[in-house]
Amino acid sequence: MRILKSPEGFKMDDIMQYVPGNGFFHKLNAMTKLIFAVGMLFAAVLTSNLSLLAAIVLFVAALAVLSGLGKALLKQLPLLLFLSLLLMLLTVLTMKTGNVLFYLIPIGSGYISVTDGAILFAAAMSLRFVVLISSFQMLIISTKPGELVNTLYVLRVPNDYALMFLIAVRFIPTLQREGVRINEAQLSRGYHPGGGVIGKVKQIGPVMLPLMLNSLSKADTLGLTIDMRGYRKAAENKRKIKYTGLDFIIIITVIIILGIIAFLSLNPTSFIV
Amino acid sequence: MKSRDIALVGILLAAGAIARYISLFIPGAIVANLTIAFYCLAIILVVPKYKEALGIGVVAGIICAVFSHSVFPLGNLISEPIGAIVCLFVYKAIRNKTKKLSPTITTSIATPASGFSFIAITFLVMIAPSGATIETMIAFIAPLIPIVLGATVVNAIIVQIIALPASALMQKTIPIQKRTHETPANEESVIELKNVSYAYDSDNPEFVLKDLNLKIGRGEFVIVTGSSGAGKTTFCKTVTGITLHSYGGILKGEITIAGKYADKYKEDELGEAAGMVFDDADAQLIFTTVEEEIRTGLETRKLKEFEIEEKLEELYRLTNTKVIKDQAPHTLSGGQKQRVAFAAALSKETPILVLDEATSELDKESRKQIYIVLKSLSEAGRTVVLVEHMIDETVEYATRQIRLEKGEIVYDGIPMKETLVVPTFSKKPALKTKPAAVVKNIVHVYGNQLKALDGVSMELYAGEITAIVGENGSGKTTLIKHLNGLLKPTTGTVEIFDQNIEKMKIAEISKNVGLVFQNPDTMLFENTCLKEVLFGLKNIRNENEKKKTGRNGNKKNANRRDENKRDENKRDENKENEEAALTALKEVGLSDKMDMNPRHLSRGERQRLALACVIAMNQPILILDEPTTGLDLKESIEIMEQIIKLRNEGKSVLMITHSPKIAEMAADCVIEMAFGKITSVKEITNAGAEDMIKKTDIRNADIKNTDLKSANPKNANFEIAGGI
Repeated sequence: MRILKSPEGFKMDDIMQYVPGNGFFHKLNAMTKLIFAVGMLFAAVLTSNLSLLAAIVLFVAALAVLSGLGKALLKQLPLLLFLSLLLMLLTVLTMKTGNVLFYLIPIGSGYISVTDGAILFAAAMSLRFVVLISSFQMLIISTKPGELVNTLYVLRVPNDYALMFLIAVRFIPTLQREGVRINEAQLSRGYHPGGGVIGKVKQIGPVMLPLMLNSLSKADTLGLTIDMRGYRKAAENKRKIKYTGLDFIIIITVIIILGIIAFLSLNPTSFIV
Repeated sequence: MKSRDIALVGILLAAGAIARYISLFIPGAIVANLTIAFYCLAIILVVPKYKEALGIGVVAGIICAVFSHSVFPLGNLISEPIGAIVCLFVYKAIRNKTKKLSPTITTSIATPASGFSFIAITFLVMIAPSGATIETMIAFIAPLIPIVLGATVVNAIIVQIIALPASALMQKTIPIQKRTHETPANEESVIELKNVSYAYDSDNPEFVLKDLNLKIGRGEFVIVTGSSGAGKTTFCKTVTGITLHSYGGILKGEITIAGKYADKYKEDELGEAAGMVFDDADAQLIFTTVEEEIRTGLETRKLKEFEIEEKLEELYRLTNTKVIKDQAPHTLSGGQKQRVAFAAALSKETPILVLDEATSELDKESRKQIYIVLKSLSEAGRTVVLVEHMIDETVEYATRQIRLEKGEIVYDGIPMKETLVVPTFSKKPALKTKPAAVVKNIVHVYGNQLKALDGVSMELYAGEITAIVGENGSGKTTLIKHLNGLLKPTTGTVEIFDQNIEKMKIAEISKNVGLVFQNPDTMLFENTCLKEVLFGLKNIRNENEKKKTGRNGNKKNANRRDENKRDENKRDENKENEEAALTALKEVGLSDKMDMNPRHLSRGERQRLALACVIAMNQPILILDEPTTGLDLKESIEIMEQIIKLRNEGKSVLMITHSPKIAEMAADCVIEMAFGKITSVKEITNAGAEDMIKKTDIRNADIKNTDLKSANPKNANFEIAGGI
């Protein structure tokens, strides 16, 4: 992943998180990956059964490792751990279902009971978030921005809005670089906003304002270019997507998983934790 | 929606994605959505229909879902459209009541509307059905409330700061000005202007073009010249019919394009008759790869698949773009962007092709190549209009020159070389005393691979101008960034007045070193020129104060008398600063424009303002990156006069330039760089300059693509589309 380096510790990863690669996830088309991500989302939402959720997590992780995305996905770990700990803490403090396992403050008869119900609930929630965040990350990491736009065309999103998304995707890295450049120019004028939230807010004037005004003045030329080159009609040629055997395998797998989970959650009695 | 509005929303959403990404460093910020500020801005600037606002919301939702580790991506797809609709509703309701505060109020309502709907949806779907107790739900939601409220405050600040200047910047667009014509258009004419006058602002008509009468025929290759502000860009936009279609303002007279009156074209038909390459190459690249950019133009022309492939190859060859075909626009250099924009315009094969300063960032080989392509196109019967600063170079290729001055044609005839005589400046003899800055053997490695600088050493002396020349990517800009600490050398040292700057803060170094980047727009942000100049002075004062309080910070005996004294000092300093700023503005000839918004100045004036900003700071070392890009020779000379004056006052000046003329004119020493190394150092005496000029003369340029040397229009696959 490319890292934008700028002075005084101001570092920013590229938001475009696409990592070139040759794994099998890279070979799928964007549509399949989207179906996968959304399918996993529904699978995780449909069930709150801990072992089922764990199975989905394992499935997603196995796919990631198989397609060489494991390393890139591990970058999400701090966020996921933070989220899980927070969920755990909040649930334990407020939820008292199930058996009391122990007390956080074991003085006298004990204060703040920790119940197995709370822990199971927090664990289920955490696994659910793990599934959501990692399956979408796999889509983003392995898909070129241009292909993402293509999916919108395939999904028949009205042309104007697909174009809007295209322009946003195209300009994200440009604006990032321009932002770094403007920041450098202001630093060269002796500007020193300081770090933290206050520093960021202070930067709105000297950095964000010229960044926005420069970019907005591009909108004029951009709009004219769209008109002159007839890009608003370009969508008709973009609705092509190729499905290979691999795509079908993934789509069918996702459908089967969804089916199993739907069946099990509709017939809870047939399945015991 | 108009294309421009789509572009505007797209750019703002890109900014929104970045803002959201930056905000992720605050734990828990996954819910605090700064993207809302940017789609609110978009809605405030565009004021779309409700249906369109919904669409904007959905696109914003997709962006949030895709680029920001959203905990529940589907939630964004619902909550952002809700925010967009609320935003439009509130803005429409209050915009007439409170003009100034309406952006803030709108955002303060839209942000919680979207934020809380996201929370609600996430809870309904993710947490509630799994049997959470009421207490747990409250415990989950409670910490999110301050986050949403915090985001509301930040969003309101962002929108308020940007909305007003942005709306002032937006030009009004009016779709098509239908007109009545007394006579039918001359079907034979390619471009014909009859008594054409044009003003952008209809309330305050200041005519940019004045009563132009002109015919440009098939197969002509016209260069348009004139100083900045002469109306060249407006001229280009007029001969392509854009002014009529996309801008408000007043247009008089008749414009005929390819045998039809310009207003008889529908918006999307105009692009079939005339192609235009604008001066801002970056803003003409819309797709995420070079190949898509060029291919899409071909795809819109209903060609057969094999024809598309053939023409694509041809375009790659004509513009040398095949090697970069998989690259994204942001990874291209300025020159590469210009070549891609040129290729994309060529892909439409329009009978008329207009280029507005579309070669400014190209090196001499690429410029020559483009001139050859243009010449062959014109020989094949197409009409080419080219706006150029490098007049001398194009003389051999063009068939006609039109010179504009203040919106009028002052010359129309065969192309002629520039006659402007470069004045000789009076230079005080250089004093070779102790060097002000010493660069010792620095190496800079980007990432793990690229050696941007490879053992560079040099010395800068007071009362001297050093010029750095070299092709794109030779490491010039990387080098100067080391001199004020923006970059730290991988190995080697930089000393400013005998002090190694490695451990110093940029703000501290900037007391001695002033740096102005290539494009003045990267630094100008205040709403008056005076404030802009004062910005740097204030920064230096803040830095000094920090140092003072840093030393006495522990002593708590700052009694009232000291405070009074400090206030007094501050007042004195304010006065001093203002005087310094005014003097600097006077030096560059902008004192009568001190209250003007920098964005309303011409490019040359903005460049001078940037110079005033460093003059006011009175640093002994000045570094200027391409101080004359985008300026014509006359304006460049004005800037150089300023710089030489600074030199004579004893300052040490280092400047990057790609113009051999400029280097010869002003510098005491010219350093040439290639591949991160210094390849030659030349003390400039008047004799040495000759050599420099010869080296950069386009006639000596060597084009790598040998096919082009014998570009034969008859062999070209490119035929005229449509036929005139």
